[in-house]
Amino acid sequence: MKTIIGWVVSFFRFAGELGVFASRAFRDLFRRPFEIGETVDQIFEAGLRSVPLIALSGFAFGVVLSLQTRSSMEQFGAESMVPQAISFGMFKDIGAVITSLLVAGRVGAGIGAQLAGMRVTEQIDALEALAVDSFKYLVVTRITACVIALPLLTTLLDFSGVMGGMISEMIVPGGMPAELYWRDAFAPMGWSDYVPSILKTVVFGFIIGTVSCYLGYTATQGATGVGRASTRSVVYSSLLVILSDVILVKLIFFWFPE
Amino acid sequence: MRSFSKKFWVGVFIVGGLLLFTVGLYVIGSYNQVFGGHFEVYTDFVSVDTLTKGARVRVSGMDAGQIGAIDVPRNAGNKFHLHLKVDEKFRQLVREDSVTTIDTAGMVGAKYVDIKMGSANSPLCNGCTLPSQAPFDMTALMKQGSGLVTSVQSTIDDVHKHVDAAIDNYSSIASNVNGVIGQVRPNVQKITSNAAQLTGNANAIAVGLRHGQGTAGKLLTDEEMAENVAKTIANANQTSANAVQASQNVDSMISSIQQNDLPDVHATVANAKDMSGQLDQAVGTFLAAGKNSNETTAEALHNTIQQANQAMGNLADDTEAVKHNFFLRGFFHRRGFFNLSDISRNQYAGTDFVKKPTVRVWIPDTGLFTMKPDGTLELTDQGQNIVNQNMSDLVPYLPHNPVMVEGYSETGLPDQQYLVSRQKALAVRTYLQSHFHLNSKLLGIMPMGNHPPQNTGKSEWSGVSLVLIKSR
Repeated sequence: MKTIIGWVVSFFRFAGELGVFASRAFRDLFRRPFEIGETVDQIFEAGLRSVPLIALSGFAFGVVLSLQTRSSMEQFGAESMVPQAISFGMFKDIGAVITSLLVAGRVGAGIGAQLAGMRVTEQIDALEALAVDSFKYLVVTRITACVIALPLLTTLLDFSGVMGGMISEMIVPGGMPAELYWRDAFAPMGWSDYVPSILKTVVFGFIIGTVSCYLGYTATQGATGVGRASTRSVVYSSLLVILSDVILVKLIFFWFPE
Repeated sequence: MRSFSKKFWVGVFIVGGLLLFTVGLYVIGSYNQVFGGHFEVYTDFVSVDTLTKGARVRVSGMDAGQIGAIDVPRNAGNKFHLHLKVDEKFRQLVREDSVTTIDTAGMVGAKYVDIKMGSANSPLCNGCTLPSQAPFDMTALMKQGSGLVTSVQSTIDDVHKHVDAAIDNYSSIASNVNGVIGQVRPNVQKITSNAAQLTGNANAIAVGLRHGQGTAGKLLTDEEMAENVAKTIANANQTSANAVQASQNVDSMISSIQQNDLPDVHATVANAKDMSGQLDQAVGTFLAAGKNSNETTAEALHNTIQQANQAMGNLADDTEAVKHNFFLRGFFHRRGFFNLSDISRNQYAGTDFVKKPTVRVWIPDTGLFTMKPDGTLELTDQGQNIVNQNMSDLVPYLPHNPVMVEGYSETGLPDQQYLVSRQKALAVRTYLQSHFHLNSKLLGIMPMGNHPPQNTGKSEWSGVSLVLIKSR
């Protein structure tokens, strides 16, 4: 009983501290100094270095989606809807979620481990001793990098997926030419199918960056705390991304009903 | 340098990402006629059939725009008002008489509005409201399909029943055919046997002829016999001439006798002797055995006639069997009988003469017959008149329809009744054949004894009954 109560208390304590941390980060996003150089470095690490992973994953996912969708569509003679199914699947939700999970796995773990390492080795304390705002320098820059990189990576993964599906459709027997695929993929779409799903990854980026930075920035217990912070960064980021996606999808349907 | 390089790549990453995002915006916008010129037309539907804002609009099947908006009717009696954004290049095709329909891309594809191309005489549609056609109701089609399936199932069931009945009929027919074949087989075998016998007889006759057996054979092969026959004929001619001469001589002799001229009588007697001698010679030649055979000409002629009789008997059996075969018996069935001269009383009971005669007259034997010295019966003059009178009912159907003369006798034992009734029938038949010139094949007799057929209403009869049936 005490254990359960302890878990509940710990959960709410974690949620409250994370909320305060996120509020501070969100507030400091718009406060000077912006630490452009560190932000660029973090965008380079979180965004540019993730491009091969994202592009390849998106392409592979598009191929798989094409093959699976075609096998299902063929059963009732709707192969012509394969491009539409791929584009809608990638752009409306799956692309954003996959990108977020990939980034959470690669970047979130890195941020958590890096900040936890700096915390346990008292590098953050050293920065504070040098009158550097470690929160703005370490946390805000990383969250900013995730917020900027994730929509771009999501766009890349979406188009990579559509391209993978297109190449798959061009190769498989009974497929379709690229021009027809391209038209069928984008003609049924509207901006309401495209823009909100890209923009919601800003939220996902903020979640990934905030959770990872919080777990790393508040890490304790030495090397063990570093590993725990790294693992929890991935787990909590992924979980919160998926949970927040449920809310965001409902909001998108509310704002863009058609 | 490294910082610059990192900034450069970050710039590439950000600009590239934004460009990619912009490309997406442009591609989607271009397909939605956001950037190109378009004009707007309107149409009304009672049901939008799941159409939504942004759904495709096609002009004669080609993508031409999208639905800009759908106005929900304010009252129940009004229709949904659709704003159709159509690409400018289709302006010349969309006329005021263009009709809009809601179609589906494939069986499960998205709904879209199709605008049929208008007629050239109709004015261009500039913001007009196009007439619409009610959307194709898939549910109604499914209901119709369900009804159709039910109807087809019912039809299949009916056909199945008919097919079953047909199969049963075929089975019955096959069974009947098997029965018929079983019945016909003995007849066919008999026909075959008779044909073989007939062929054997014919072959034997031919072989006999070839080997010079019988008179005909000898005539063909034995030159001596032929010469003998020729001589016999010549002798017969000579005999005939002599007989004529003798007759003349007898006349002359009688005349001489009448004139007391005796020498002529002597001459005549001499001529008669000569004639007798020549006759003896001719008969001796005829009865003499051939040179190469111990058989006389008379014996050979007798044997040949016997063989011919046997062959004709066999031939008669064969033809009788042929009459009963599967292919020919229909004719005799339609005629009503096979052979009136060869029919038992039991067989006769199954013929149309008994079952459904066309005409039947009953003639009592009172004053009808008289007995001849040899014990047989013949019609009296009165009897002939009675028969003539009774034949008046049968005459309209003569001479091509068969007539049966039934004889009846009440006296004596059954064998005596049979014989007497047969004589009565035979006497009447003889008269009918000679007086009415009836075909003997169409005129039969049937000694009935004292047993009239059951359906005649008579339990006994003495006399005759004339029965006629019309051949079918």
